[in-house]
Amino acid sequence: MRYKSKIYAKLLVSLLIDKKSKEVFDNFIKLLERNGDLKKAKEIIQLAEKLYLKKVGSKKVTLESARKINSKDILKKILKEGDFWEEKINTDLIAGIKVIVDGEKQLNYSLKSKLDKIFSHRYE
Amino acid sequence: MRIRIFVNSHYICNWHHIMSQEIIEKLKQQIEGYKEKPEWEEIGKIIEVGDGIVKISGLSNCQSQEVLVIESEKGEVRAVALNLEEDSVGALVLGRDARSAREAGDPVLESSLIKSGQTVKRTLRHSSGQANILSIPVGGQLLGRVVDPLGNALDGKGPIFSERDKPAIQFLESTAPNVLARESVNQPIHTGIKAIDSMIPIGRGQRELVIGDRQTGKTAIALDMIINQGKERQSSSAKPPSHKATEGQRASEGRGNPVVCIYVAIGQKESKIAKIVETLKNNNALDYTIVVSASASSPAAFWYLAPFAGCAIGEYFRDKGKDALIIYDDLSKHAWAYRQISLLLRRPPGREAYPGDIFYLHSRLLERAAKLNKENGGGSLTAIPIIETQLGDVTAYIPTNVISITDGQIYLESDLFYQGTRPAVNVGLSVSRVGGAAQTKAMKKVAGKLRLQLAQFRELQTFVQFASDVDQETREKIHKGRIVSEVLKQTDLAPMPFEEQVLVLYAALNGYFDKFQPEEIQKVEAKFLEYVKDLHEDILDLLKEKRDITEEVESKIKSVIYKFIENM
Repeated sequence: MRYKSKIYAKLLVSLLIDKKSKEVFDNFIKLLERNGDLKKAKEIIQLAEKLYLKKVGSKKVTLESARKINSKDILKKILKEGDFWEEKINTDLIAGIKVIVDGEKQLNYSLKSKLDKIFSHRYE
Repeated sequence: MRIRIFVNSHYICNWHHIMSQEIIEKLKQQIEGYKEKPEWEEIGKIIEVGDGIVKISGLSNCQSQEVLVIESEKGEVRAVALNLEEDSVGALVLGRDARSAREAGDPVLESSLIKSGQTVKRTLRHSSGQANILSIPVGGQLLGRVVDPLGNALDGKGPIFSERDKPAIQFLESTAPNVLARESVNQPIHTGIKAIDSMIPIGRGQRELVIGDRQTGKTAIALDMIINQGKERQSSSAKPPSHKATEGQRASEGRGNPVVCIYVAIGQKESKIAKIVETLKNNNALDYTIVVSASASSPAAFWYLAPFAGCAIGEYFRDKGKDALIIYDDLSKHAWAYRQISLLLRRPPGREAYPGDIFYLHSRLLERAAKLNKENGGGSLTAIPIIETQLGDVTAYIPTNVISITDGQIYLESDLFYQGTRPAVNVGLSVSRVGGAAQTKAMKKVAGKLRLQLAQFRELQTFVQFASDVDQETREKIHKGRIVSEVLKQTDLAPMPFEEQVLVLYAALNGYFDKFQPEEIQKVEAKFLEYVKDLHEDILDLLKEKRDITEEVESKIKSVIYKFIENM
């Protein structure tokens, strides 16, 4: 029987919540291999990440900036205990930062967005 | 000479300087006036792209029909959400808006700009903060224009709305008026085509299907209808009905508002659309017509949206208390586009691979055609959908669907067309289910027996093909049938006013033309009308005013016809 990615993701999350170990993850990958669903691994991990964050009540914050910046102060204001974060360099922003939360919300403080807003009309 | 060149170049340099200064000033003002209002935006990520469809993860609060913005490398590309799934959203790419595409100056197809991993944003209305559901700006300024389904001008006449205009925003998908807001169809909309106005009358607010194979004159009927609205408008403005007729009488006889026409071209060749626009222009019909064009080269998304955009425009006029006529040319291609989109969105295919909601797609579109009651403005939207059949097969999926949705159909036959009966209306298979209530009394009295007579004639004609000897009575009936058939023939782009139709049909059906040969009828008809217009115009005015054949009118008509026949 073929299982949907979401079922695998739910399974992985429940396993990881019970016992966080490399062994659990290795065995999970072996299970995927045995079921011929290894190509779904990327999608499953993405889904599992979302489900895990939802379950533990944390969020994942991505901070994009045009060049390397000292992000400690900014992150201190945004992050709570248990939250995950990552920093990315995105030269398209020209200057400023972009904060993305859980891949679903963004706060765009970049120069590029400001220029776009000035030079193009808004969709209404 | 040198001096002149120097002066010219000096002038050009100065002009450039002024222009650049102006631009700089404008930008300065914009930058100074720019207030930063960073807001949290709801976003998603593209996980799949292909054939004008994108699959997006995230956007959990997205609504159906909401406009989304994809942040591509070369600017923003718009899309509309169609499929809302548990973890993803399926959206239809609409393209860059015309202005940004023009400014970008490159003819790159939008679909090639979109890549997996790009960010997609929801667009909220600034005024209300609510979801930006797909809509089109509408207003009287649209009259005489050719637009795409998103309301962008395609005719090169510049922007439709000026900065001062405040166009109404009309949703492409909106609910049809409910039962309480409607009233039954009671005003005629004259097509100017004798065969239709006499036997298959159409009322304002009706939905009448025009169905037939390719090259049977479907579009010609639609164009005649549009052109005739202009002629009716002219005649009513030139000779207003007498002051004795009350407003109510005038409205009930169809002399209320001039009709606004909307022609929706779906998947047609650009050359054909250009020809149609030219024809409308040459017949002074473009002034009151709006053409919504989704040509063959435009993406399937436009084919799918075009009828809804046209309907939204029509609804604007309907809700303003005006009468509007919308022609969907044609809904077969619309169904193909929707099938393509649905299959790409991986919706399960049904009969002929159409999705399960293809019936609902057309029924919800055509249900928006309505005659509103006086409390709701009394406007109307008459819908004329066109369906192209394949080798006369009316039992295919889409034709049967649309036949069952509409209030009747005009069936065009290629055999009749090639025999020379034009318009090639098959009277036996054509019907108008509600138009009878709207038909003018005069036409009803004249053409009441026409359908029956023609049916009897067709029956006799088939019988006579096998019988060698025919009695006098039958021969007379066949002769009369031929004459009536000839009278119903009409060239395209020559719609006939209702009062002229009544006169000609009265003469033909009451046997006044029986002494002529069928081949002569077209000429006799033309001469008769010329004679009436030159010498007895009062009878036409009387018919136009009374819209009924009273004893007084009938005796006048008889005397005019006698005089004409005597002179012949």
